[in-house]
Amino acid sequence: MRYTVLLLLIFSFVTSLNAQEFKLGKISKEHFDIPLSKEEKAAPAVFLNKYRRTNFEYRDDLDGWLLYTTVHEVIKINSISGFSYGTKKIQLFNEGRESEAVKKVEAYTYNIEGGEVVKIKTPKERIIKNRINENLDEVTITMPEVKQGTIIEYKYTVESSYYEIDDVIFQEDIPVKNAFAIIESPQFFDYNKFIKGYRDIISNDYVKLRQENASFELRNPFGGRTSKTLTNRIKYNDIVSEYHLQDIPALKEEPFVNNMENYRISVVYELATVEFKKGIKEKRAKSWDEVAEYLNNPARVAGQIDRASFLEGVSDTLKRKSVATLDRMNFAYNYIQDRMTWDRGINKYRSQDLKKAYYQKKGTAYEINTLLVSLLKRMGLKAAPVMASTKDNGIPIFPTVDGFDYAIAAVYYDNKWILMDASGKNLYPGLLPERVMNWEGRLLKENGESLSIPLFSSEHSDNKSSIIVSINKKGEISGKCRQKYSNNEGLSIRNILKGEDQDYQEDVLKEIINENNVYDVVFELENSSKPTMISYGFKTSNYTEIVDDKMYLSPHLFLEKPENPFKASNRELPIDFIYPRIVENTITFKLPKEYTVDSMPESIELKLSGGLGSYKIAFKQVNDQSIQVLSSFKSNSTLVKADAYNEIKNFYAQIVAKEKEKVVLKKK
Amino acid sequence: MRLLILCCILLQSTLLIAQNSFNFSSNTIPEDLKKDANSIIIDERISVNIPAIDKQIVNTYQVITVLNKNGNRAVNAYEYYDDNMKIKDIGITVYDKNGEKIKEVKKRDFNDVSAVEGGTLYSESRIMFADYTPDEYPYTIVFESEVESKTTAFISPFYAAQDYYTSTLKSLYTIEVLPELELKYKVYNDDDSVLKINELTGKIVVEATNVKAVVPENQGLTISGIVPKIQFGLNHFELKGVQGIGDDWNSFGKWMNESLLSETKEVSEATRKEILALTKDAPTAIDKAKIVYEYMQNRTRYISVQIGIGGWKPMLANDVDQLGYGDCKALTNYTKALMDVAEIPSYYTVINSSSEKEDITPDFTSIQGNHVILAVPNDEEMVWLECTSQQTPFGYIGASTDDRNALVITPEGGKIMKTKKYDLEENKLLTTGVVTVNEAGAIEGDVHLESTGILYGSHFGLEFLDAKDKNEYYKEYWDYINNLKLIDIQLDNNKDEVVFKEDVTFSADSYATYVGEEMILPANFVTRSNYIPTRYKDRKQPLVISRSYNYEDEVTIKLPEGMNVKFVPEPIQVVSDFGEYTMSIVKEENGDLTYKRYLKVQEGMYPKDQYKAYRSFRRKIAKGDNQKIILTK
Repeated sequence: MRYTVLLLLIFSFVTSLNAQEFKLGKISKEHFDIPLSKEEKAAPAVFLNKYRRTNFEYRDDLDGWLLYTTVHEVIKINSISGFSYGTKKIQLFNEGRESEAVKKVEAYTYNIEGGEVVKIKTPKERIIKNRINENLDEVTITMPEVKQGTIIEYKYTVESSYYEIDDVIFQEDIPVKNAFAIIESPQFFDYNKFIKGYRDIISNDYVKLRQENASFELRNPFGGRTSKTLTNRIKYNDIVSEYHLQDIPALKEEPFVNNMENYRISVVYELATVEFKKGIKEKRAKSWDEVAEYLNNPARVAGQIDRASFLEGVSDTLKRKSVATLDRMNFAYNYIQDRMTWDRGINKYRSQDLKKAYYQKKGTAYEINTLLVSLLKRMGLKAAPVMASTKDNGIPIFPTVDGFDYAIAAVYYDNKWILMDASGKNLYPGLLPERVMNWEGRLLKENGESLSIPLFSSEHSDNKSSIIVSINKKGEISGKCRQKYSNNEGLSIRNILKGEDQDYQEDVLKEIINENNVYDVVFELENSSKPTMISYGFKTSNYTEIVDDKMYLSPHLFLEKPENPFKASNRELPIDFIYPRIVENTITFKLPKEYTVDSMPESIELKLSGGLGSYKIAFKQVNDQSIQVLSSFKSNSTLVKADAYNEIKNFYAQIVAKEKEKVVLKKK
Repeated sequence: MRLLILCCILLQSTLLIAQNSFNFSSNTIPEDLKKDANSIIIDERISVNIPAIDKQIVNTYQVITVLNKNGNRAVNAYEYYDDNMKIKDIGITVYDKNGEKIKEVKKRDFNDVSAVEGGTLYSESRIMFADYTPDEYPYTIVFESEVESKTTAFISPFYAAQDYYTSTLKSLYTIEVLPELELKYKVYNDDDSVLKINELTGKIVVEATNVKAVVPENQGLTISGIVPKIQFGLNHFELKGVQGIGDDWNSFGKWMNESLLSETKEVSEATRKEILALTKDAPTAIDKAKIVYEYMQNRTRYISVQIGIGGWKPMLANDVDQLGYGDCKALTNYTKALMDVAEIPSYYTVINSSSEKEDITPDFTSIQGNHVILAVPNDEEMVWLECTSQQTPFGYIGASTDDRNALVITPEGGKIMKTKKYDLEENKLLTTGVVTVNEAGAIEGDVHLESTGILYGSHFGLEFLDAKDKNEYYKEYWDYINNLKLIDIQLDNNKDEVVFKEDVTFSADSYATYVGEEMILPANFVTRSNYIPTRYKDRKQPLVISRSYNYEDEVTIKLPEGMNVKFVPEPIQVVSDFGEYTMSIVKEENGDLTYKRYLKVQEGMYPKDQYKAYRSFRRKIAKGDNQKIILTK
């Protein structure tokens, strides 16, 4: 439910739009005097104006539409850290016959010298085009004479043969005072619009009549060209949306955010239909079921699932080993996991080949998990691929093939779908890696339907430690520790340690617990489906202090939570806890016989509202010479709204303060 | 007939096997080369051929066995090129652990992309590279390339190992040069004679075998200070169509001055007049230089470009004058042009910019360095000017260019000179203030920090952060104070004195903790150090402390009304070869406590067996900094 914030459809209002006050090449003293708020002044630079127009032109010579996007931006540079805005980069894509080109670039620098505005035009040779790779060019404009207080201005138009309208971005990493955007599309193109970010966006929508000269070549009866050309005036409507936003704060990075781009204030356009022939609307936008259908096409990987005859032999061999569903699932999973290496490549849904991947023994997560589905189905299990988007890719805002960059596999057993990803060597059925624990995926059913599957983990990952220590009269501690990490906690430890030599593993452990004298270390990392276990002995004198006749003991040893991870005084964006977790510590102390317990901290229990989390700690005197500290921390949520920030920050602060409290021992 | 065909097929297939497998098995590698290694150079053959002053052909053949995923970084399956270079061939072949060929990438399948990510001033520098994702380890990769260049100013050095965690079974480097060009070389780090060097006329063959992997150590040497290497150079070379001389630094400098720098210094008449007017009344040459420097800082911005890219010739001063930006060469040359207008002598200076002090080798003349600064003579000394920063005070150079040999280019020729060294007294951080503790254990602090020398360089950047980032900075700086709230931050950057002052007011709840009736109050509020160097079972490298520092604190602690001091830690004094630490807390008559701390760290290269003593020194400091005061009601 909370994710729907991102998916609000635009509701239209009619407002009057201010006339554009910024004319290219005409920045005057008044523009320098535009008052800035405290935040705007403190920022490295500020957009005084951010103008964008996207429109279509019918190009008679090309017999088709071209998309033009004009950008006109005026930026005031406040400080040295804003100098980077003096260099503007424009990226241009091309693929096959589709391409983009930049037209009419102009850029200026304005400075106040002796009370007058001095304007400098960026020379042509300072506008450089660079080929980044075969599909991407970059035009760099380096504007001259940029100083503190400078205003820079540039305007350019990108001509594109793609009909996809780039996201209309209003929020930048610096504040934006005024943003205007005008998106004009001929009636032949229908777009769906989606809002991103925490702000209402209101557009002024209207219809504008346009006329265009178009020439039509007459065709001869056999379809060939004739020399006859007719020129016609065509009339049509442009659908126009105007946006005017003011005083947009900078998008500032906050810790515990999955992907900042999910929250940038912008409007996303999706091409819904095109009408190239009168009355015939070609559908371009897709429902989830249509995306599923597209992917289930025989030419696509999912379509190849039932045709992977090269898996026949393996399938037969594995099938013979057991008839039980879970056994078969594990055999298939282990086989694919062992065989295949994830190439970390970005998934290309349109160009894959299961057979090739299988024989090369490597591929994208999509290929690996689709192979797994194929094998599972061959072995008689009910299995399906689940399309997913990684955290880096963000949240797919509307149903689209490109919104996904990953796939996992699912097996139906005992009335539920078990999710699995064979692309990581330390994973097992039921455990997904963090990279794909993002919002929800779409499970592709055989009948062409699709199903929404939550990818956030509902299961807790445990981190449990039990320590037994004895303290001598000098305050020296020697102890034995056993730690158990399950699910994603176990996975992250395995990913670091598995396959490394013992020396390295021990070094990492020493770093984690910040202790040097560690011995008898045993790691249990091999069986991925079991929790990771680490056990070791240690000696230290770091947690006690003797003052006069008293000994002060830090009762959590190296398990103490040293600082509050939440430092900022306020919060804008939801907090991503990645997965639910439980941290449980049991520490038993054998006290020196010369000492007795003088005081122990109070046992307490804390709870976050809405069942988000809890913390419990108890100090127990077991007998004269022994005490026990039991603590349990539970975080039940994945993505939490910013509203809860203060409560969460305070919750952590209380825990940190509590764990600093000492046990006091007194000389007998 | 049938038989014949069969024979042919058989014959062919044996040929194919010969090509498709590689005579390698990880068993044949000596165990001591596997130790600490993520990758092993099995066989490397680099041959450099310079048949003419404007032609250099480099053939590389490299067989690397990668033992685990961390070893992938040793595989450098790429070549750079530009307008002056041509990659004639490039390719990789990958073999699995049994020596079976599993992948081959030919030149046409290499990626060809721009080498300057987000490049701004130059666009001709490019890179060709191959993608390969290993499935399993170990694997062996053969990289081959042939690159032809018109530049002979740069010759790849020979390294016995390129990086940490990589060992070398065998590496062979052959260089053959037209004798008239006068090849020369210099050997580094080869006290144990690991390198076999065979010198013939116009030809040198170097071989290294069985070089063990090096593991980096905390506060140890850099890899370039450990691994044997050879630098090569020519007395006559060509650089982007310009012939150069490298007999000695003097003539090299003369050449640079005449060929690369002489025609680049004109500025507009308006700028000329402005400079003359600005400097007209300044009493001394140094005052004038400062005016010129600050004029340049206010007029320009730095656009980052590596020195080798875009050539060694700076952009014209006049262009910088018009555009107001440039890379380090352009901005330094421009500043020099302005100094010339004001008739202040100044010298273009080539240097290595890096946090570890890296010299321009005094006794080996060749193109070196990765950065350019300006030197202005002041009596017997030089004032060094960093021209790429708009903030740096006049004459201040930070930790990236201090205390190292640089090539100063004077009209009489090149000279090697050492840049400014910041000594113990200069590198100082003074922390003073008042901290008030209330009965609940919360504190309020009013703290003043003053940093000079190298420490100025690590603090003054704060001025340019926005309010939110400043807050975050202090929350990190005092990360041991939980619940820190910043109330006020006042910064004062005194560029004339090169002192950075910070006045910070903050509060923090539950700083002190209660145990029953007793309040435990950590005594060091604002300069706590918890740094304890990593322990090594068998330390191999000397301990390197690159700069001396001194830290002095004096904090007045105001205690809550009605509470008595039950315990105050005893004064601590630790003296060691590496410096000194003292801490004391004194009860004042008015009931306040005065906390004093002094820490001095002495630069030096200490023998490896002293590392343990250094750890013990740091541990004592950490312990001293974690002392607690106990109060009771």
